[in-house]
Amino acid sequence: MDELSIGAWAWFWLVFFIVGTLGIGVYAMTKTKTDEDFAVARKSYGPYILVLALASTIASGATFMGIPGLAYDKGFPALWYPAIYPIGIYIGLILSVQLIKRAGDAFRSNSLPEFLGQRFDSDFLRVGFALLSLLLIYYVTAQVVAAATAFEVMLGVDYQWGVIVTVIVIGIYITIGGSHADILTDAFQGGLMLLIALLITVMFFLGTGTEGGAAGINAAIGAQDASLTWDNYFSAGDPIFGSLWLVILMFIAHLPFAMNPHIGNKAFALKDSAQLRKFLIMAIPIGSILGFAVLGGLHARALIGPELRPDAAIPALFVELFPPALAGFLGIAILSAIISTADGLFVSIAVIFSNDLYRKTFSHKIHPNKSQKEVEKTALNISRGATILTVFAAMWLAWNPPDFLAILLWIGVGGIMSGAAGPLVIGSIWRRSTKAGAISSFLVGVVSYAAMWLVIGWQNPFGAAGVCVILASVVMVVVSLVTEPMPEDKLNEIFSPVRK
Amino acid sequence: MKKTAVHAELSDKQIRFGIKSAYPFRRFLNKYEKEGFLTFWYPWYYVSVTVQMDTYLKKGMAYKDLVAVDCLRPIRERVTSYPEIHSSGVMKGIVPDLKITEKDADDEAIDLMKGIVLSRNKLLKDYELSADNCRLFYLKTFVVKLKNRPPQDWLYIDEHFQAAAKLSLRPEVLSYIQKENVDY
Repeated sequence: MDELSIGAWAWFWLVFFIVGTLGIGVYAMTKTKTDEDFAVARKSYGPYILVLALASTIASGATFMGIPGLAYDKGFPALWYPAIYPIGIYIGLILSVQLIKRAGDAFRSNSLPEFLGQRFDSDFLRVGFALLSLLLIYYVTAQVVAAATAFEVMLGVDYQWGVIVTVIVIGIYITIGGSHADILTDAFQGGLMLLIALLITVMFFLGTGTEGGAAGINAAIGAQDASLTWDNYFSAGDPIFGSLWLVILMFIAHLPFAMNPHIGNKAFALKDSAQLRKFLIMAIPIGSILGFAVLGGLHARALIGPELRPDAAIPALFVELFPPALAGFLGIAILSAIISTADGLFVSIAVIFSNDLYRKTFSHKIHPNKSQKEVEKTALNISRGATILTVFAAMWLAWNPPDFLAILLWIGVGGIMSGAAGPLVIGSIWRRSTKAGAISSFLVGVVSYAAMWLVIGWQNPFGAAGVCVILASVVMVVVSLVTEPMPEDKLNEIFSPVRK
Repeated sequence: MKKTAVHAELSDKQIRFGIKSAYPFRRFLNKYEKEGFLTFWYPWYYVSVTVQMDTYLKKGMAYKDLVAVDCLRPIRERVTSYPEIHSSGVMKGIVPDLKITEKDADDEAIDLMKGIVLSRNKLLKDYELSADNCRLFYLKTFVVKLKNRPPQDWLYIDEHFQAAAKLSLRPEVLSYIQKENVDY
């Protein structure tokens, strides 16, 4: 067996993974006495399972490929990223999740756009945020690119074939997407990613493959390019890690990250509000550990040199350091995590079409005579159609891979962040927020972000999102202060609801 | 309708937890002290919901779920079990009026489960939901009076759902406290 190549092992593990996934699906269908596990895709989870699910949702292709890719290319200054982003994400989550969970329960929200519409009593915000959330397609694309890159590096198949195989595997995932499969794969992958991140961290500090631990890695990188070593806190002239100001913007940009529909939704799955505390306390360290996967990018640079495509750094590191069987397994494990994130995103996008746009907004206009049951049936069909459409759109966008996954991902996420910062984050914690403030903030956030990309052409998505988040937040506060407060009754309905 | 009183005890540890939850930045100063407490019997309907569904992969599935419906606030929670009954009997303290009927609770429970079944099942073909066995539980909760603080700042502690908040955030409880002239 030792003679098998890394590619052969990777194929072996891929088949193992697909058969295993199908097996979980079949097991889920046949196992239960009551059918409950299949029927309710995400049954009420406890905080332990949900923390792993949240971690595996936040940490995706970008965590194991895109961000290490940045570190591979930009050296130690890229370490700002893992130091900053978990703190930003989880502070944002702590600030707003309690209200979103509480009010979401009270208002029966199925999604964040729906909640936003209810918070400010505004159809415009619901539809606007739903349409804006369609930018998640870039997030999906980033996952497909990541998976296809892993196929390319690990399995030796052409990138374009990698895209096709990825989409087929995702299709299998969606088809067997019963609940038990979801529960098992989410929690299992979260745990596995945690182990891989720890492994990468330990290997980095031991300096595996080099002499002298982390210092050895630093020296090897310095021999290639002195501006990449740990003596450089910032990477002069770099649009992302060039100065402290840019790093602060990166932090600000991540504050509303948890407001992404597919992440914030996790809060709705908690069994009850009392578990939020435990959930949040565990989420921060686990999220931080996953961030350390970035160290693998530095390690790969030291060991392999500068010739790789940056996003391939971690798979290449595994190939370099481990025997073929283990390297193949680790690569496929990361691949499965990427695919499970993409799977969740497809569902989120489908919910935008079926729930936020059709069921809540347009059904009573275009189907005024349909019964509630018929409307729900149509919504289901729309959800399926939207999923298929999204798969093909992602495939088309992923066909020609960009240089940096993380940047591709942030084209979409940055737009959502900029629009969500005011209405969702400030609106969740500040009672005085008004409808006019929320709409102005949403518009300013989105338009300014588009201007950053299209007019100014700033090549730093974190910086662009950071500036737009600040701008949108200021607009939210100023406009709210100069406009009429929302009626006290309405506010009580949200912040402390009582039955009439 | 069978009313079941679910008892709980109030310990100093719970009060400390309540102060910590409601006033996260002030607990170090040890500023608030308990002056007394009263019992508030919080009503919840527990509704069993039968879910029947066909998916494209499997037909004729059925199972039972359980939903707790808050009788004073528009809140529904999917729960795993009925409250554990230590003893039942006379309810001393404040017993609020129910704001919903058994039928309302059934509707709310079905609505919650419909949202879950519809939005979370990818291959759903058809479904039918029905509510049965609606039971009313009075869960023993506590209002802790704090020295030199107005009622809005007092603590509300719900041991069963592990909730603790300032009374200003629980107006449905506060209104009863202000209405009743209770001796601590």
